[in-house]
Amino acid sequence: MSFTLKRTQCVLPVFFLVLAGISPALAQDVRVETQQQARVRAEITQEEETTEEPTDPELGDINLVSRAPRPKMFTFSTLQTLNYSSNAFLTRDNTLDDFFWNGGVGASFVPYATRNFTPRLSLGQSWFRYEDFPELDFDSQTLALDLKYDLDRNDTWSVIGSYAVARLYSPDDATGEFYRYGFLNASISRFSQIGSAPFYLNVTGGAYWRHGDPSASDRVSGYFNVAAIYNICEKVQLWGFTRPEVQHYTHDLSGSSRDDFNVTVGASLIWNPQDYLSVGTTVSYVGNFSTVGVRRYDLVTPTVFIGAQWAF
Amino acid sequence: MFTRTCQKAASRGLISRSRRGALSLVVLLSILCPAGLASGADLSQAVLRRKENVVTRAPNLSAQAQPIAQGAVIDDGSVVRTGTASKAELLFPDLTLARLGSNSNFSFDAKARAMNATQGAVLFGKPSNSGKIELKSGAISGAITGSTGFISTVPMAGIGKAGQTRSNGKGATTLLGMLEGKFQGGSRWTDAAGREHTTSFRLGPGEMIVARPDSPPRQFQFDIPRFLKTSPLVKGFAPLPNAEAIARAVAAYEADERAGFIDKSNVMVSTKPRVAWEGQFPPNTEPGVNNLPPNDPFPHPGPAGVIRAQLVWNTSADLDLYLTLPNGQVVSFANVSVTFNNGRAIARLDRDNTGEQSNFPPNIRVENIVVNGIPLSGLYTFIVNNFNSPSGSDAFTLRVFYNGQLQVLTGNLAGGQNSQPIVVQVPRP
Repeated sequence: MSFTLKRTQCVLPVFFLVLAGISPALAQDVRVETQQQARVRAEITQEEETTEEPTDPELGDINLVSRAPRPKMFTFSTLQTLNYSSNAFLTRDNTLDDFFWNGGVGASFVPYATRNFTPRLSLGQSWFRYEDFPELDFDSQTLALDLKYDLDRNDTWSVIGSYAVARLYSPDDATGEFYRYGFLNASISRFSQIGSAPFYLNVTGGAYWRHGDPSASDRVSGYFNVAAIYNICEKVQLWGFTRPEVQHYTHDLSGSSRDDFNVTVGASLIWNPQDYLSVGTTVSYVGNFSTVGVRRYDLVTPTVFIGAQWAF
Repeated sequence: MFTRTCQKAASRGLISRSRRGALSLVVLLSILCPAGLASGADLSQAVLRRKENVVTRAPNLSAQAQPIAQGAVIDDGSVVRTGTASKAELLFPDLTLARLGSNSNFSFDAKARAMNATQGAVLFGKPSNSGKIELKSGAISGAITGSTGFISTVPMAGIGKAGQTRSNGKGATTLLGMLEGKFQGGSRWTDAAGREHTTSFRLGPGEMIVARPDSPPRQFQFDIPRFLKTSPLVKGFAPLPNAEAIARAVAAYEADERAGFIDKSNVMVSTKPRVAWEGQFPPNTEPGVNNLPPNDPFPHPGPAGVIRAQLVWNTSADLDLYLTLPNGQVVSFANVSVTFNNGRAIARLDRDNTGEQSNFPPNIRVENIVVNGIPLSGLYTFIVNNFNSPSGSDAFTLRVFYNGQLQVLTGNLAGGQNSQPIVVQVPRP
């Protein structure tokens, strides 16, 4: 199993969770490389179980080692998705549904890495195009720095600190850039295998602060993210995930204090026919419960996607 | 560039002591190098670029083997064998090379572009600019393009005992590792219910696989620099064809080691040979032996013979002694007596000790195979198989005596495992 595949598989959840309508905070958080850990864990388990020692004195000294995959220095990726939104305007009442396309390309750079520490600089460009409501179309550019530190050598505990800046702008030149923000996130994750089956659980707890211009969406938040992964076979995985999140808005337009409880539940099926290619589908539900009644909404988003990645 | 490379390869071959062989090499390479490099892998012929001690060639697996000299040209389909404490290096027109360790069997097929290592250790190196070739050994088969790696197979005779069931099947254990480049292939195996499977795998630098015909293959990672420093198939030989790629693989390994990506295990395989003693008739120094005929090379009494082999162990495991004759026939518990060489020679196993009884006090188990009459010239290969082991692993000593020379092999075998072979060569009259 090549590292390219591992990276491909770990990037995809980032995209489809974003597509599910979750805040960029989750996208940052999911960079815990859950799937990569799953793969590595499977290999480690295999080695621990073995009792066979390869031997042939005619060959030479064969010292067995455990060699963790080194992150690739350069990674280029793309993801194309087709989505349905049951609530394109995220309103409580009079919801309007729509189909939209989201395409994205990204590049990341790992200048240096050790077994425990991986810094990653990422640059991404995304496009959102709606079928019936072109006024919702927008593009985004994101630059992010992630610092990941593994707390142990068996890939169980890790912490991530990240900071990202992003700008959102309309394809309509008259509108131009309409939002820019900075995003500071910190989280701790525990990854573990459940039993002896290829079933893995990743639990993350974290907090983030988003500050932007305009500031109406500025907030601080605490969250949990729970993902269960089952490797149906070598190339097919089934994901289930949920994410409860408490959000405190610091500059809501209502002028009063606003606190939301946002919960996401979803499932994904991912097929990796090649190391560099992934195809999948996901369906998710987002419920937003707010102290400001008009901010409440429900959203269901089924998605199909195809992604490719090249790392070296 | 190709011409220069071919000239370099040819000049190395001129070390040959055989003028005829050297000329053949030059002609062969000058004719075949451009074609081989331009059109893909060329395994039509090989030259024995280097040899140590006994190296033989046979037209096929069952045919009689003949010693060959350094520089000899080996045709497609021939079987190259090495004896005990012997090595060979074969160079092909496309500059692919194969280095054979002791007691190895190796053949190649130009039409199928395949190399077949049926027994023993082989280090292979293939330039990346000459197409793909197949590599087969034991349960493993697969393809390489530009790669350097090693493969080792220890075969079993594969005959089960009546009324007994092998705990882990019959066949061979094959070990395949890559120093640089990639290997993509599959391992065939059969589960306990008799269902056949093929497990696909891919190896990169520093990765190895251990395959058996009765279980799924297991994948490991190994220390590349240490292997290169200690391998008898690397030390003392000319640089490998893909030296730059190997250097990059070593550099990547060392960088990973410095950055903490590598955890070393305590599992190490030593290159120390398991042949404990080899030479002229030795004094008998084994304790507890006090009633042997004077100057008998074996610690325990056994039948007389032109060639003698004695297997000794002291556990309740069922160890078996096998002899493969030059004509391919096997002497063992399943075939205790074989008459060969047109009735002029006979090879016989004296007993099948299943471990339930000791032959000599306090707990010594012994099996002997002897050859009498006028033996056929060629190679006689003795191995030990642990047919059934209640204790998991059992120590043994195998002694083979012929023409005043004694070879001794000591070691431990797990259930189902084979020993390294001891080979003696009977020259042509």
